[in-house]
Amino acid sequence: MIKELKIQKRAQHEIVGFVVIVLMVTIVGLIFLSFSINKEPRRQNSVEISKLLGASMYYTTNCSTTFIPDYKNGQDLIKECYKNSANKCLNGESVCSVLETDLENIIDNGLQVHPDSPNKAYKLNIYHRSLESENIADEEILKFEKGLFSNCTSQVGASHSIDVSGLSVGIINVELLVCRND
Amino acid sequence: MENQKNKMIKKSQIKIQEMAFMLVAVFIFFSLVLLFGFSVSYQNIIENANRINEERTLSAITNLANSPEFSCTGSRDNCVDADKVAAILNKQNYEKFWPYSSLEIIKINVVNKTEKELISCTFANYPNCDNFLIYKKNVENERTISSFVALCRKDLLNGAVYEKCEIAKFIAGTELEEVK
Repeated sequence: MIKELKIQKRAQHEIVGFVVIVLMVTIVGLIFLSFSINKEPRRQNSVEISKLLGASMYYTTNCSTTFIPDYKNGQDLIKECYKNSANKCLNGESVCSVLETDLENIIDNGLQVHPDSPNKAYKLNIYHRSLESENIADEEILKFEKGLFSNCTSQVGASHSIDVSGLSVGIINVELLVCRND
Repeated sequence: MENQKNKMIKKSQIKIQEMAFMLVAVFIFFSLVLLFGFSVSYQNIIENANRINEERTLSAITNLANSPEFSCTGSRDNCVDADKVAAILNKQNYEKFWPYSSLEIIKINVVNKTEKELISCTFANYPNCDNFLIYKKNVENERTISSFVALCRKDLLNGAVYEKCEIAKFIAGTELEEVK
């Protein structure tokens, strides 16, 4: 009788041990699964976006601040907007608004941004970064976004730097981040 | 005595069996873990390979855009001179010059147009056109790669010459080799 009880107790111990192991394995598996599901999409540099940003700097706008046909290109317009955001083109439009409209058109047409297309949304940020001191905060020049930055399988982006050594000690950075859902 | 010995042997056999089952279970578990790890790393390898491939092909087009046949004046990077492109349209010799099965430049402000609606560039309608078909070899298996470039040309307004740049897609086709 005692021997039978001993065997039963041992069997119960083994079952408890087995259950503990199964529970541990399940918990570890669930942790791995939650990590893989909630993983933030990685940000990658894209050559395609980098080329688009580079080409948009040469793009001739319809804005001239001196005489026609001395039209500004994308890069000149960014510098003009940085110098004085109240600057106006000869046709009366604000330099910064022309810059925003033109960049929006270029990105929309170039990357085909649409909720149903692989490129769902984008964020563009143009800012001045001082090289005098690390304590000086970045100065925003233009910032806009289109579409909803959610459920992105990946985020691709690129940046383009503009030298403004004649204007200030620093650089102007143009950053474009695109939300992809392939 | 004999009976007790038999019992002992049977108990040992059960123990060995338990051990064997446990070893098999542990082996299967670790195999699954390894398989999972391998599939994750393999996926990263494929992602990296695709990215490197894309960068390589895009840099090939960039080199093409920076070549003397296409580059703008002033050695600007990634800038194509539209006047040069118009000059080499329908020149059959270039089919053998570049290792691409087709070369085409399409302005991106016309991307909403269908292929039929695009106005093909010729000497007669340049610059009021949408796409420059430099050449097309009409191969069966073709994969196209594209990159954004600035397409610049000289224009005349109010008696003054100025440079007008647009954004375009430089599209190059490569013939895919079939594995037999």
